[in-house]
Amino acid sequence: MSDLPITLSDAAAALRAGTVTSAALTEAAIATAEAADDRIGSYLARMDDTARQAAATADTELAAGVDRGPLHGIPFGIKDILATKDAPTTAQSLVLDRSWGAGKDAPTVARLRAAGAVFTGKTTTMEFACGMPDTGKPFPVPRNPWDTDTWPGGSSSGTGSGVAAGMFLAGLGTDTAGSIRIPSAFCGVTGLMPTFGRVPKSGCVPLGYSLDHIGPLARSARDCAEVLAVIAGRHASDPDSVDAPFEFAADSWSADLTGLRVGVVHAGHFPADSDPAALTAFDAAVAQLAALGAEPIEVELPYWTEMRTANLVTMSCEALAYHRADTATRWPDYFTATRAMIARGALVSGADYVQAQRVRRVAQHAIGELFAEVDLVACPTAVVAAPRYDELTDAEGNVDIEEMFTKVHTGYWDCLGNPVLALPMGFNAVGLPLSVSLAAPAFGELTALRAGHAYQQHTDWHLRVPEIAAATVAA
Amino acid sequence: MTAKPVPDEATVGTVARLLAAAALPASETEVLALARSYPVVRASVDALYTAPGVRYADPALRFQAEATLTDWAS
Repeated sequence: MSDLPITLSDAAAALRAGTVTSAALTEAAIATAEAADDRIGSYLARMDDTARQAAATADTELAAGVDRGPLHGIPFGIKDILATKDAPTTAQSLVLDRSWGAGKDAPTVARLRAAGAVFTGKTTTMEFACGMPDTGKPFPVPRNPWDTDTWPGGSSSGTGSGVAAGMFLAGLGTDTAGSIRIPSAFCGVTGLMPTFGRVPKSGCVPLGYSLDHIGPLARSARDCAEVLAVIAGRHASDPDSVDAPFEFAADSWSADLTGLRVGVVHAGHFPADSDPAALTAFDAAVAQLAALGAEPIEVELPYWTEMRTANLVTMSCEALAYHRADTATRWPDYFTATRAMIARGALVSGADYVQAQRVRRVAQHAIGELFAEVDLVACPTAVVAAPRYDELTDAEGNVDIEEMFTKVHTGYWDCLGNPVLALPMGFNAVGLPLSVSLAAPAFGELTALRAGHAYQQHTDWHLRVPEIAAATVAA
Repeated sequence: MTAKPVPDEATVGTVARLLAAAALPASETEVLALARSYPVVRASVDALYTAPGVRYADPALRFQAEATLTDWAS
């Protein structure tokens, strides 16, 4: 196991202390990918050469006193539905027009590049950020570094597994129904879905226009804050983006949560077939927050069932609108699970879509009222750990994830637009990670990140490294 | 994995017609799979119309009279 720093924040400090170089961090990341990626499938495209060049530039600049901020010289993965000017963008699909975004950086990518991040490659995603892998298509099947027979979660699969395995220190994912938080949960890393509109989503292949969020996956809450500070802020190309840059001073963050009111959700979140370790770990996480001074208050989430339905209606309709130009002629080229998701958009009416948006409005109001009573809401990200691929296959051999999603509690929050931070909270009986989510009021990321940081000062779940990474990372 | 109910003929026909109307060339297997969950999906969508407080709510849709298209890559 390398003694190189494994968090972005520690690496940034080490770079400035002169105890590590960006070149060393980048070579370690490349070595890990070389050793493990054929078993994990984090990357669709590696950018070893340009990463080495960027690392060398970062080292030269830092040595000359040119400091672009905490991401300067940090190995960084980009989910392959975001456009990057120096690598192809595929959305892990045969269908996406390869000229889309070619030679261009998405606004978020451009901001990261300007901040000196070292892009190590484009990471695997479920096709168009939805569905599941399709072994009949010419793309890697992403696997979980904690157990390669299991799913790493999606759709930001490669970013989650890559952070967990040490292929980069942070990366970008996107979240429409849980695609940042699910891989964060299943891979044992920290992920932040920012408030809808906090981060511009142009330059990202859309899945659900009114649901898509771009955000970081990294080791820690503080690392996520560092990334958010770079990518947040309005961009004229995204009419949903707002002028709300994110600023913070981590040095002033304490582990004292006195006065923080934390709504705690059990209702509707622990069906009978949950992993029994999920409840134990969740209650322990809440107890840890309380030990730091927070006041737990049991709450129920308003419009819980309706928002899950509204998420599916909205996502499938918006996806069908985007894909309709291709579906008639390219149907066999889509992944099986993508076809199923898109097709669901044809099973509801235009009025159904508008009604979903009406319920979203009412639910937004109701969650706002809840956040008048509490500062954060804590709930399990999922009440299962990473499922085995063979458990996701039905009797006919088709991948079926509907049942699993009754135990994954993420889509509710996409529909509302509130920020949610997913944090590792322990492991189940077979050593797979579990995760707690902290949801905040709109644009209340700072509250969730400070609480997450406090929690992570007293736990080390986020620093655990899977054996596959521990065995492959060279000093 | 829990076995899903076999859909009746009318449900399969409804799903097939809706997919065809959207010009989606789904296979018989795909139609059948969607039809299995269609009654539950339809019921949950219908329930959105009776959610409390929604009768006179405005939808969370966006429209800006002066909005223009701005290329993100320009």
